[in-house]
Amino acid sequence: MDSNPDRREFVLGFVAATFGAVLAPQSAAASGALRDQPWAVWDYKDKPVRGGYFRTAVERYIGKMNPNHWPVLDWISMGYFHERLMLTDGEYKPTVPWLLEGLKFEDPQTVLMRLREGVVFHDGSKFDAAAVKYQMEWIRDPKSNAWTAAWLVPLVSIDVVDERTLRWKFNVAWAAFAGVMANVPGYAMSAAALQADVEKYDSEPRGTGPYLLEEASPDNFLKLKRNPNWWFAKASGNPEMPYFDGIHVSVIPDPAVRLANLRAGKIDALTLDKSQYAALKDDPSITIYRIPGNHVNALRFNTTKGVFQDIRLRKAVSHALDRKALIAGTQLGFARLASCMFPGDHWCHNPELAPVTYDPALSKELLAEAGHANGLTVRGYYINTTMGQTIAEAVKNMLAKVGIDWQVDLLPAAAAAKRMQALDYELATGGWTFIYDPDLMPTGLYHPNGGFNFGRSKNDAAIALIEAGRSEIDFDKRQKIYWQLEKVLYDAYEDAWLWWEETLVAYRKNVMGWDHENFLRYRDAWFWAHPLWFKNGKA
Amino acid sequence: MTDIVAIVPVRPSGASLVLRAVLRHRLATYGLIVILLFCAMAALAPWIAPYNPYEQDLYAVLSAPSAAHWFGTDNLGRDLLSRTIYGARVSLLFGIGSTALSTALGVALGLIAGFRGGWVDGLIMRVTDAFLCFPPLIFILATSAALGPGLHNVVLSFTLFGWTGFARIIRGQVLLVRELPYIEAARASGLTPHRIMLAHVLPNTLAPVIVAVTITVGLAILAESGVSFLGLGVQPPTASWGKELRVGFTYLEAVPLFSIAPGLMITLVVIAFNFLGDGLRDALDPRLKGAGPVRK
Amino acid sequence: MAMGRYIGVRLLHALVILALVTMLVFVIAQLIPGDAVMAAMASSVDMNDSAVVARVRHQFGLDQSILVQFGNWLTRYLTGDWGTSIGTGQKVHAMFVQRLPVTLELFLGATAWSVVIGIPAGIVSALKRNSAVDVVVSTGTMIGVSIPSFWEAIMLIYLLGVVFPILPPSGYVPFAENPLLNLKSMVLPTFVLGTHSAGLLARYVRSSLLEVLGQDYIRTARAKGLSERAIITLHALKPAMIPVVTVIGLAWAHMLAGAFFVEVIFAIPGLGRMSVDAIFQKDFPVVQATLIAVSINVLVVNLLVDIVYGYLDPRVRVRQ
Repeated sequence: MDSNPDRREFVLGFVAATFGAVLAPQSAAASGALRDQPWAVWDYKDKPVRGGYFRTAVERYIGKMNPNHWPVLDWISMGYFHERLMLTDGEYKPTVPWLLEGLKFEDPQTVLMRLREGVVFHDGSKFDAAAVKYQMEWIRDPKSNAWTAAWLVPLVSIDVVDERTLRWKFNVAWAAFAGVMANVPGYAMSAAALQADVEKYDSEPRGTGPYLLEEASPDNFLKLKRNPNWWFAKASGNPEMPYFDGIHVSVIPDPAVRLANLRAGKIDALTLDKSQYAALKDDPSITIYRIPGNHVNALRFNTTKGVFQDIRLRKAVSHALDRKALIAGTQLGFARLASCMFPGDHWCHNPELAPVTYDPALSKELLAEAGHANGLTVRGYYINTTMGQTIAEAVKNMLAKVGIDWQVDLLPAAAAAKRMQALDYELATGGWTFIYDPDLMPTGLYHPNGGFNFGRSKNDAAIALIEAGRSEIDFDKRQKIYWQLEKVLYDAYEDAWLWWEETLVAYRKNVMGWDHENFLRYRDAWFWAHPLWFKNGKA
Repeated sequence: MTDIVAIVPVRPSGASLVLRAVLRHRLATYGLIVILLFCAMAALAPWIAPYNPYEQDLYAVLSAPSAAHWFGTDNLGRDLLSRTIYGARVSLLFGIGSTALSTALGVALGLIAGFRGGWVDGLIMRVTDAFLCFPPLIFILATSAALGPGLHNVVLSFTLFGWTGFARIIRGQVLLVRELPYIEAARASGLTPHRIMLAHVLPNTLAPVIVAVTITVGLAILAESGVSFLGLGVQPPTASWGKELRVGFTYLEAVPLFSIAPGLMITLVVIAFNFLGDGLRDALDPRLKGAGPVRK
Repeated sequence: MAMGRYIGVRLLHALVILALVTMLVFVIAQLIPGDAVMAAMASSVDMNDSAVVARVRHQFGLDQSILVQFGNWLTRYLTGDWGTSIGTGQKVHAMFVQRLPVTLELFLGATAWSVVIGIPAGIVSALKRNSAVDVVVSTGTMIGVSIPSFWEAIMLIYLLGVVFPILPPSGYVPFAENPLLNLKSMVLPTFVLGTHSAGLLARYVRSSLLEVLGQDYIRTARAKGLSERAIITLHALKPAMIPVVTVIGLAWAHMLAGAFFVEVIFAIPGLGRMSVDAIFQKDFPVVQATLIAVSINVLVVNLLVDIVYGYLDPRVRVRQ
């Protein structure tokens, strides 16, 4: 079959940010060549040196290593040996082809996908169209028990056009396609390995990533070693990548003990607990970076059963919350005030919305107006982790000040899930983590079919917009739909959004290569394209 | 012949006698005083505590000790000194209360098991085995679900799983004591088993039990720590030493006193109870008076 | 009663208890609210398809009645198939085999510490009753009992792992892989777990020895002119150790609870952590498997304690 003469990268360009985020306007990439990407710059002051095992620690063991099986509890380690077809940019938009050279919509229900050449799986098999087709069909097969099958529902067929080209056909206009390819189904797995022994793949993965699995000890550690045939090293002209000889991920459940390990020099990098920042910030051997996260923390209302069917009471709750104080107290200042559900640096965030104001006087007025001048009692639950308890207590206290008694039960995850399903609450834990393609969160939270809704929210205008956003292929138009969706939810006080997350990461000073400015600008793309190294090649 | 006279157990003839014996024991006196002080602190908390223990200040969380807050503030800006003082209420009540219940249950069952022997002994011992096998956590979670979370669940669980220790220890002692000649004599003289058990066997098996009780109070308070941390015991915003101990542990570097203050209180209470226990045992067990060279 | 028959009867009882406790736990655990599948899913990646949730529930048989679930589990367990963990996706049998030696090493080390510290401490404080030495030792052992294990752990980690880095701050390496590192990593965890029982042991030894020393036959021996040392070693220690046996047995039986905290802090992949996590996740296969192991542990230890007790003091041999 003739390969499409139009080998140009299709411009999946994006709009320059107008709000105060750290984005720079980007022009469309002119060709598929890696080196033309704006983040493909490696002019380091000190030359990278090979060597050393990079040691880090996490709270939980990864679990399963087939990303489509569940549970997977450590996605960062997952990214060391599995890579995605597409990556997201600084606005979380799926516009950075990684294992792909590019994709283009021939029509709203058909996509032509071009794979990068020279990519090999860890078991030596080729990353080609046949492998990708096999993987996607494997995901869709109910016998595979892939939880990601739900994300490929619109798929009708995949045709191999040639060794590096595929034609995808959908049964609807699938706007989220690129986003899905930048998410879990897009992790390229060796078809040969899947075919040989699917069950073994859960503990012996074969991806395309910079590191291979060396040894896995459940609940204890994960040991990875350098992939000498990493495609990106050759394609980017940096043959020495990755620079570490390997990565050692220890499982250490307690945050104080993780910090002790960092202090003792037993690990080289660590995600900090926010309360540890004060003790560590003046340590001369450590640098701490503040990274905005794509998680939103919110309180959810049950808008179809109970008192919160009345918007005045939802408003009362939302205005009774001093978000700044909550961030100062529970997050020690390390979070960003949220206006609505999409984080401020996400491309679907509506810049015209401002965070709900703190106005307890207004809350009391609204309460009285709605007939609860003598106070209101509402029931609910919150997750019983240390942070969850702190937030719940702070919120309860704030609500009490305007006369709302929030009878919140602190529950473990299993019990909380049950309550959520049974709609047995009026005000409870809310929010969303890992916000990538804009369809997933709104559907999950506000659509009747959503996995986290169970009927507690039924805003018809929002539902219509969610469905519209699923089929709008054009990025600009799609963005406008989600801006409107945010406005609808915001005006309806559908939930009380509190803040967008931030994480603190500490690196020992002998870990080189981190460029915070460019990381913030290009995120994922920058991260995976710029492996770190040890000064002098040893830990 | 002198043996028989010498082994007639001396029953303490009145609480005042016991009290005087205890007070003669210096350490026990100190222990008693410390316990009473803590009880007073718990009772007078609303008057002694400088702040309302529930008042939050989100802009002053995890602050170091200062003139305004002698112990600093916790993760919600509440005064730690006040919370430590109020924490005594829950912890002492729980520690003493649940220990008393477990002791009563365990001693009763262990006494019966050891004294009766035979199938009664066998049955009771198998029941203790079963309770030892049962994971307390499941029980706590289930009762928490059925009755709602709170301290009563922890009391119930601690009692139900704590009595086994007492039962086994007392049973062991009873097996020893019931072979003694004077018990045979008491039986021969026609006393009812009931009376023999309570009046003669029990007092002579109390020594290890007293030790167990004093240690159990500390264990109870610590058990409350583990459980409250999981949201199953004391509910926020109530303060208890156990809860503050565990929560404060996360912030050990930021505000050490958060965890150290309640920890110290628990240790002091446990030591006090132990010294008191030593004194009580010495007072109740006359045979100790003949226990060889006492002082180096 | 003949020892053989005694053991036989006890083992029969043990089986009955095992069966009862297993069923009871299964039933009572149903009271715990929550859906194992939703919980585990909620902690990894967010889902938006209830059909998938339903499919996974079906895969684990959670959509069947309790009786059916229990029956299925029991038949499979007895044939060696311990099922798959809902929380981690691993085979329960494999998880168990990986973690058992770790926890065993922890228990043995802790018991060793408690005996080595506790018994001498108890003897010393009994012999020097009410002296300054007694007060110091008593206070020391009481601190050992009342200090929370996670606290003691972090203090030791900082002292001996960070400030004076002679031991690894946390982590576990199998003995077969690196014996020296394994032992070094286990020093602090076993010490922390052991100091708790050491304190208990010391108190009991002290109390027990004091009791024995007050007995008449001791006075007789003294009157006969035996040296104090001979009295203690020949006549007092053996009977004094009787309640100690009970205490060691009880400590071992209860050790899993304490082991949980130690395993979490020191990042040791043992049974304590596994079982607590499983209980919270309502991960039945794991909960049941651990329960049976723990029960067997408790029942066997109690049986051994009773036998040793009978051996040490013939007066208390169990009679019909």
